[in-house]
Amino acid sequence: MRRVVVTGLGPVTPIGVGAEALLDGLCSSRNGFGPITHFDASTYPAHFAAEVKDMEPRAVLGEETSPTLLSDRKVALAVLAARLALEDAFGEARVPGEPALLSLGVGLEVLLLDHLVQDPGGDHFLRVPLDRAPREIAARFGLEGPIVTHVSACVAGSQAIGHAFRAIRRGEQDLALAGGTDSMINPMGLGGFSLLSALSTRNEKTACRPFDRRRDGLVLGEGAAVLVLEERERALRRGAKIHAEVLGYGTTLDAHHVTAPPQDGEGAARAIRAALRDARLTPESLDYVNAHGTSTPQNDPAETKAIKAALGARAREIPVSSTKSQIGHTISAAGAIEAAVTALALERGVVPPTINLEEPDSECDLDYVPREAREAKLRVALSNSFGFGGQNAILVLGGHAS
Amino acid sequence: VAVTGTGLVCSLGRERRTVLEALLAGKSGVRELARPGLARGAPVADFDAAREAGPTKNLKYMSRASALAVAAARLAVKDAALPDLGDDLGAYVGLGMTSSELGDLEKLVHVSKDENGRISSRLVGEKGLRATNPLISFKILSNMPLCHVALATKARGSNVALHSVGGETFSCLAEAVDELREGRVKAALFGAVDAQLERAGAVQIGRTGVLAEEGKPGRELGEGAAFCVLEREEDARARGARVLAIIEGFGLAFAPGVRLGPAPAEALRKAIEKATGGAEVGGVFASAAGDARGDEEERRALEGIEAPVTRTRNQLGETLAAGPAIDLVLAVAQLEHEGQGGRTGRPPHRGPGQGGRAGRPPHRGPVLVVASSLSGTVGAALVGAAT
Repeated sequence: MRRVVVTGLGPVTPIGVGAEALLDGLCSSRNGFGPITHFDASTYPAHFAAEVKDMEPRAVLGEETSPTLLSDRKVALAVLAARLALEDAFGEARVPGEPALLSLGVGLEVLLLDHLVQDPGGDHFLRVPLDRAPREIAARFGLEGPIVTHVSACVAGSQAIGHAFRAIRRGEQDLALAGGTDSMINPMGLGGFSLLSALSTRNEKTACRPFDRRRDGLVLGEGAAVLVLEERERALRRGAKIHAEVLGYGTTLDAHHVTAPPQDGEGAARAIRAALRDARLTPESLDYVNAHGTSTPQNDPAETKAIKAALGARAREIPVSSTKSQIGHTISAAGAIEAAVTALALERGVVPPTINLEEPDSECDLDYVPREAREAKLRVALSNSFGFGGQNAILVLGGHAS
Repeated sequence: VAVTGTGLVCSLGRERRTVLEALLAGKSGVRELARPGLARGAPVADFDAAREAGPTKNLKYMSRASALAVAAARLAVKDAALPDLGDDLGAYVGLGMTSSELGDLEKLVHVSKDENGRISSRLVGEKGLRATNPLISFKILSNMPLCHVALATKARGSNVALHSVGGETFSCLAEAVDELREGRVKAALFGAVDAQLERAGAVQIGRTGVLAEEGKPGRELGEGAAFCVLEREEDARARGARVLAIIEGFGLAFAPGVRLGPAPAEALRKAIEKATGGAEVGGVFASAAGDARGDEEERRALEGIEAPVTRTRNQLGETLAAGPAIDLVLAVAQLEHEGQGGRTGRPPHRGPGQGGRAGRPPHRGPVLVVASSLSGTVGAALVGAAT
């Protein structure tokens, strides 16, 4: 069977832009949260979020870019992530010599309320098409292969990587760019999540506290990550630097309830088992789980139960941590950013922390790596993603040496 | 891979054979619409969400796209007499642009204007959110049609939700076929939905210049959903299922640089070649949406295929993401019709300028479904009769 390796990482996150900056942010327990600055959110129930401060859309997309396109930050976030990933893999922001698959998870169109008022008919309401980010990447970096746009909300980034992994493993492609991008830190994005009652209203830097007894909801983040995936033999032939290997992928549906996951984490557990089966591995092979860990009252105990159900005794022997504690929930980008974090953890032998975890919840009783990163030799890890509506997606990554 | 059930919700009806007969009779779902900025279109006018997509407790969370998708998926599962497969039933769904449901935001906009008539984000937070239906997010989230389909059909297996404006829908078909072939599911719900018959959707498509306007021919927007139950043929026969048709091949191709405009002939030709593998084609369901440039590109791509060409979009409207899935279901109906000795076989429309052979006795070869697209991603699928 063909094997698939990660040869380029392009993370754009609130705690670091680029692989080295992200790693530094993870290892130093950097906190990406603060009051929202993209617009006046002071009257919203939740007005803290994790913004990417080191990304100016005009600098990424060019001086001539229209204000409308600039207003949809996920496009610039994605273009920057793709550029970083390509430069990491090939030393330049081009795909050398062959069509590459582009598989990208994207969030909702930005709903421009001001434009709706100017033209009640809606002429300017949705100005940036949903698939603009992948098409912008393809056009700017000369990708001439298939474009697949995943719209599966919180699992979109993971499914995009899983889709590309399978396409390479089956032999349909040798090379792919895969990832996700999102920014819901805009009036309707934040408003929509407020209406869902999903957001923490603590409005402080420590509001996002996965697995902590006092958690009260997720905190929005924004960001993107693009990974360059390659068929392993091809990567070895060209002497590529290999960050990690994608070993397996599994996705399931809860089919349980529109608004809530099953409290026993049953759908998530099935996805973990499916991913391990796909990777032909057992729980004993695992050394780390990068959790979905949203900091909502419902997710964290359900995810804990899912990990225990799927991994058995191994669940209590390995570290489980939530990157969202540092960068918030980046929705359609989350799975991709967390896959990049998992790849870095495997490559550099470091377990990222769950910051802001101060008072453990009795229902969340695993080793969540509170507060500080740890050094550890890691061979194989999971990256968990679970979505609104009941989609679950799990990636299994291995260190290159594995 | 066998098709064992289909579900269809479109402007000309629900049942595949009924819709095919309506097409054969020259009926059209396109009508005058009393909607701002959209004079004509092909709505599913008689859609009863409570009856077709209920139970009621879930309707409040559903956009129109979700309700249409659930209705079509249920019909497909019922048609296939599919048992409850749980983990072994996957769902692979093409989804159009976000159903923006502007009406749900009217109150928010009304109370969030400042003294200059502009939206104030301060007022949105202060008053607007309280005036808004808290369930709007469930309607807007782009993956919700898939999730409602999963709930309604108890599909708990692998899944994908892809954005589509046409051709991308066959990426979902490819995913479904791969999942079946690799044994990750026993049955796959492949389908798509689009519901853009309101101003915001029309505006986005209108920017491409492909929509019909007064005195200018072009596409008329439609809406609808279609699903197929797919199974490995041996599994279907082992459970005694009726095999309606066989997916004999499919192909996808991509035209770099096309952002929102008709796909060029070269990409279409590649997809068709991959789908047919050189096999003789007995009929074609063309995209043929009605805009001159798109139709000309498709006509060039179909040169050399000597088969009757059917076009449904001039009667069902341009249903974007849903179009290829609807045509696939109608291709199944076509094969079924011919298998039962249908006389004329093909709807009475000539192909997009290539001189189709409407009215001739049917060839009874496999039917090619072509999915052109406004995004440069194009697809084709070859559907053969069950033997």
